[in-house]
Amino acid sequence: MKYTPEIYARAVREAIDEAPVGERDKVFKRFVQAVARKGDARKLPAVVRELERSDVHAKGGRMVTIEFARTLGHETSEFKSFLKPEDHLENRVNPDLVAGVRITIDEERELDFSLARRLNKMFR
Amino acid sequence: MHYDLVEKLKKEIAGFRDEPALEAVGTVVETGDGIAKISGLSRAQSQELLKIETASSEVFALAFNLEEHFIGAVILGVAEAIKIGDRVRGTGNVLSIPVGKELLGRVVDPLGEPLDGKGAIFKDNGEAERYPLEKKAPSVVARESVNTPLHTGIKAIDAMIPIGRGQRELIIGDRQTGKTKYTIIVSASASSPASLQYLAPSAGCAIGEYFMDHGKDALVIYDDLSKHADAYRELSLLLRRPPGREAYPGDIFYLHSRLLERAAKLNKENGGGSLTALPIIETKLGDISAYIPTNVISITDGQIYLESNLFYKGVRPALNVGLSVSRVGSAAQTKAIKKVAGRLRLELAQFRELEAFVQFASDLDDATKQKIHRGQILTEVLKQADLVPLRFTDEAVILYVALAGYLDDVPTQRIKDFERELLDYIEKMYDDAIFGAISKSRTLDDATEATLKKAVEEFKRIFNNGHRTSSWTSDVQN
Repeated sequence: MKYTPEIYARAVREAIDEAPVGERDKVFKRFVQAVARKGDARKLPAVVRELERSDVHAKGGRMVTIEFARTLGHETSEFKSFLKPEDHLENRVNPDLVAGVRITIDEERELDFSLARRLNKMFR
Repeated sequence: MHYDLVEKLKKEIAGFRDEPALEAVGTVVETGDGIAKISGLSRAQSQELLKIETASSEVFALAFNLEEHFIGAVILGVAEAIKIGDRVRGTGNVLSIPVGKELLGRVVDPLGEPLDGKGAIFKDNGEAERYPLEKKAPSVVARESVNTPLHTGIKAIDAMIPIGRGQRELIIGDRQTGKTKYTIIVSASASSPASLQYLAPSAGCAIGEYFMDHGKDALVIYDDLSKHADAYRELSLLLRRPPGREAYPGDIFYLHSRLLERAAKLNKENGGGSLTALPIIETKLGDISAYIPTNVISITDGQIYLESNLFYKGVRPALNVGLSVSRVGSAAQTKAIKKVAGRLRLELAQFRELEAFVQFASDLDDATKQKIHRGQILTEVLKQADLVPLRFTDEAVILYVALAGYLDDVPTQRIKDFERELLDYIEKMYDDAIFGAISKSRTLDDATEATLKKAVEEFKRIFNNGHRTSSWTSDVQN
């Protein structure tokens, strides 16, 4: 059977919850080895993301991704003031946006202020 | 660029308003084999049309599997253009096809795009009425029983397996037994992706429904549902749906039953239109008890079974009378044909039983010999070339002549000539009295029958004397 990152994330969380605090490092190590043995090492980043997401959701927060067309300086920190403390903010640079910003919440909802979107709307 | 054009473009851009709003999105997390796995879009509906934004274009996909964390979607366009990470948006619409009388005489793909090189079908595609590919079948209240015949022009079918408008009659047989007779309007060829082959019957049905809803009598031929089942199996296996018998998914029966249930005869309050469905199933080595054939046999209102052995013997249409049946069509059969063909099935069945003894004909009694001879004549009469349909009046006359014994003394190899020349003779000499009368009353009354007998006896004298068509008129006038 093929396991999805969600199943791996759920498994490792349950194992961590049941393990004594001092044993947790060993649990992580054994988990990574088990996933690699199954040939699913490439799924590990997705497992980490899933763990982060479930953590944030458990605390009542949201996974917020903000994409800019180029690297910005202190402006990015200003966005934090719009978010709740429980929210998880990730900044990304995406040149395909041409200009502007795109905000994605929980990988499900999107607010797109990019120039790429406007150009697509006009010419597609 | 001309100054005016630049100014126009500036004006358009100035007038362009685009207010970003919070939109539901998804992301492609896996793609390949015409399938995409999409995360997000948790509120997408089953069969919803999704739009995948690739680097170069927008590709449509169909939400097929709604799982806990992902959507399994069937890609309806250029699958190679889709990359992991591409954005996906829901459209809120189920898949639909533009319909209208402009489609008549055109060849389209299951998404309604023309394939015949004759250009756009609708002047304004946005204005064309759209019909969903998946639609609930008309309710029992909106229907009436099948009561109008659908004349195929094929003697064997109209006489023994009559089809009514709104009926579902399966055409089943091995490959190359003559199942295909009409042009396909919605085309998804063997080289098309499985997604389009899966959608083609629904698209054809949607187009047929448009005509039915407008009070017309539409006929849809699904050629063929075996390939349709194979395409659905391919998609289902790629999307990891659990396989069942012969690796088809568990809902294969539901797929075909909901498609064929859309064939109906609507009552007067609903326009009185009809949609007749003739699904085709290809069997392997004559095995009609395989999974898909038995499914479709049980869904339809009868089946026309075409047999390889008969086909190779030259009996075309290669109809197996014993295994073919029409469960509702006889209620709609034209009275004239019903009257003359009543004994046809029985006589042919008796002939089939005795057929094995043909080679010992000299040792048989006269009654058996007569039955075999009559069977051979009827088999010959029911042979019909491809694309030569007959009027129901012609069929009634030929069947009457054959069953009344007028052909018993005609050599088998001359039966086709007799048939052709008799119809020609009646058309010239008794058109109104026979063809006109049958066509008007749709039955063969005593007076018309008497005229027909007289006409056939006259013609037989001329035929037996070896005269050809050109000399009939002068013979009779003399």
